[in-house]
Amino acid sequence: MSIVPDVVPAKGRLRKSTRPKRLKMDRMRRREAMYFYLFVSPFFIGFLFLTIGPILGSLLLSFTRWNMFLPPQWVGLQNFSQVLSGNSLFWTALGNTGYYALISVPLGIILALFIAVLLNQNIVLRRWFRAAFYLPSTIPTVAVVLLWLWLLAPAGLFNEFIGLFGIKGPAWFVDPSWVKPGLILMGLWGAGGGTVLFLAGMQGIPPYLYEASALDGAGPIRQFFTVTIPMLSPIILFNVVNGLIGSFQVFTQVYILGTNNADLMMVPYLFQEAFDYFNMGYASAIAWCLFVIIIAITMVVLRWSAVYVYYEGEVRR
Amino acid sequence: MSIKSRIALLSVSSLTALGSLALVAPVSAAAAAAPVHLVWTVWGSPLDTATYQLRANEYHALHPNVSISVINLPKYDQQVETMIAGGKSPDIMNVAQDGVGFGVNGAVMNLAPLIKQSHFNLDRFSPGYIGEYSYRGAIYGLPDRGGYSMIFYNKALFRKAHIPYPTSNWTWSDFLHDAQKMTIVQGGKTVQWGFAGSGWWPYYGALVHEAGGHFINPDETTGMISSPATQAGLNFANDLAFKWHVTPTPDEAANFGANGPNIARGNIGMNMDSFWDIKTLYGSLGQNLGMAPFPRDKMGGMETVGTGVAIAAQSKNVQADWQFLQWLSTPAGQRQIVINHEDMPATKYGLSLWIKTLPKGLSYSLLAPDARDVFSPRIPPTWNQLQTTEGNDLTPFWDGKISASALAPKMDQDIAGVLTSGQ
Repeated sequence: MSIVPDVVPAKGRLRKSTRPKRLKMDRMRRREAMYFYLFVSPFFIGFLFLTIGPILGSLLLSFTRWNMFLPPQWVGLQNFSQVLSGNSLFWTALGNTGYYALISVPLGIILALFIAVLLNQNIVLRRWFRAAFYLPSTIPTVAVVLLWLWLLAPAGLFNEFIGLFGIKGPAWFVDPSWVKPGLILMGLWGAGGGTVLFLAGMQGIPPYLYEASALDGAGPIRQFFTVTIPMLSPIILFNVVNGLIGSFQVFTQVYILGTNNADLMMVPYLFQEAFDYFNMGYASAIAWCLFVIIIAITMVVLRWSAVYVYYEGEVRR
Repeated sequence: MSIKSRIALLSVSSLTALGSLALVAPVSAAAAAAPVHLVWTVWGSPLDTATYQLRANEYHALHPNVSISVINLPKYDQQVETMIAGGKSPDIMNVAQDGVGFGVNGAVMNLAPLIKQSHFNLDRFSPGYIGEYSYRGAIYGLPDRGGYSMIFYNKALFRKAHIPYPTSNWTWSDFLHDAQKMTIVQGGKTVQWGFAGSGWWPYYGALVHEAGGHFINPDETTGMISSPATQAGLNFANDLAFKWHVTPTPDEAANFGANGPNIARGNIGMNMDSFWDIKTLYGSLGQNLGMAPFPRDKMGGMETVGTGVAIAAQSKNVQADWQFLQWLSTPAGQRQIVINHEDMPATKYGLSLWIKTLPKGLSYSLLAPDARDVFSPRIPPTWNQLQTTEGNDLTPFWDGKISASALAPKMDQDIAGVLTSGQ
């Protein structure tokens, strides 16, 4: 396309005010692009060298036998076949992690939503309650674990409380069959983080939707399921995806409690293989298998979200 | 400070000065060459780190061209392995039971050739310690601090129960009798325990050894849990909780919180521990703190849980490292361990000095005759995997859900799997 203007002024010279807009736009775009790359470069350089680089490094290591002290030896797919074989603890760890994730994430979201609904009411000391429910999610994980070790001791406060209702509490972190439920209970204490997101989402729901539904005869419960939930569905999706990714990567709590096969999770398992057993290559293979599993689950959730997630202004065909 | 302690410290200083003179002369000439900087990775408390640095500084004062930085790594294994993998290997590394694994995998050097070349006398170390760092003729570390599993007891609770203090020859029966006498139950709840118990391997490992058993066979190819002797040791440990109720069960121990039951709480008569806790326990119990050997069965047995020093395989200053390692085992090198009341030194002369500096009321006299019973367990290169496997398999046993005889076949098979995977 020519940059020569269609109209030539009388004296045969271009005036600046008639310089083609396309020239101005290109220069502006280039300047904007330059500033974009300039401001994003610190993150991008860090991401490239501190994240992508190590990720690719671990991919290469997954095809080697490496104890971190001697040069790595190429073994091809041997690590992966060993990981996926029946003799490996991989399936035990995956089963434990799946149990933890598939129970803690939905329970956490339901609890966060429930608390958000309560905190969305016009009650006395509402701000104090909002802070109180959010606070646990800001406490460092190590401190949370030490606190819950005490709370969930066989004669701890939690068992004493449920004992008032005639329920004999288990030895939560002592009996191997109760460690995972104990971890889930401990995780639910941090539901306040999701509550804040749901609260923000609720503030953004247009009141006329509730008015319209009320005019149609919907009560509070019907309004909750037909207005609140659909309007919050993008936030629910966000919490589900983040929750699943985070729970499949659970580490600190399990590491502090001490691993037994009954509560062996994926990341503590690969950490143990890497640093306790000097099998960094094998641990890298585990990490990549975990990555594939998390990606697959996330894809399933995102695919399924087309059914239950509603975006305002979306037109469904 | 008491007169006895002052005399002891004077003895320490004099002997170490003499020892230093003997060692400095031949070394300093050779070391007066190019400057060398060594990095020494350690673990432990602020007291430990400060003591290591004092020792490093004293060596530097004797060898001005050699400077040593002590780096405390809170997550020791992970951090030191990352250092080595990242090309920033330390020169000197602290090692424990993982020393054999580090050595076989190429992280630390085999010191046997250097020991032979230097005519280094291993008899300077107290009996039993060198085995902790040895594997099939290779020696991957030199003992530095010499802790082993032993019994601390609360003298006040013994007096209150009108039972005599432990002796150096006391037996499992004596121990059980004393624990039962000190266990008090009120209203169906135990308010005072005779013994704290422990899930730590030096505890039940010592009892298994005393019963004549082992966890792995001499060839290190399979487990020996099926052995009646091994089961006798394990059963005695477990019966203390479930049969005689003188020790908390795992459920009851969990109620003591993250630090678990120990005699510092004042309501426990005895616990298994080692010498690095003297300062803490003496701070709680004072002159009511007593030390005793493990009670004996067919034999005595106290399992080493010491700390050793090793030369990193990727160190570029091997000769300087070796000179420093040798010095660490001299009276001059060991003296700060004694002066700072950090731990028990691993050398015989270090031990004799340490005994003299024990706090008032605390005596080594009961342990001295039993020092011959100090032993190192059989440590394969797959020690870490072995501990995890044994811990997993023993959990239902310690929970009282399965007997040792029922557990044995599977556990022996699991141990065999771990041992053969590392060969």
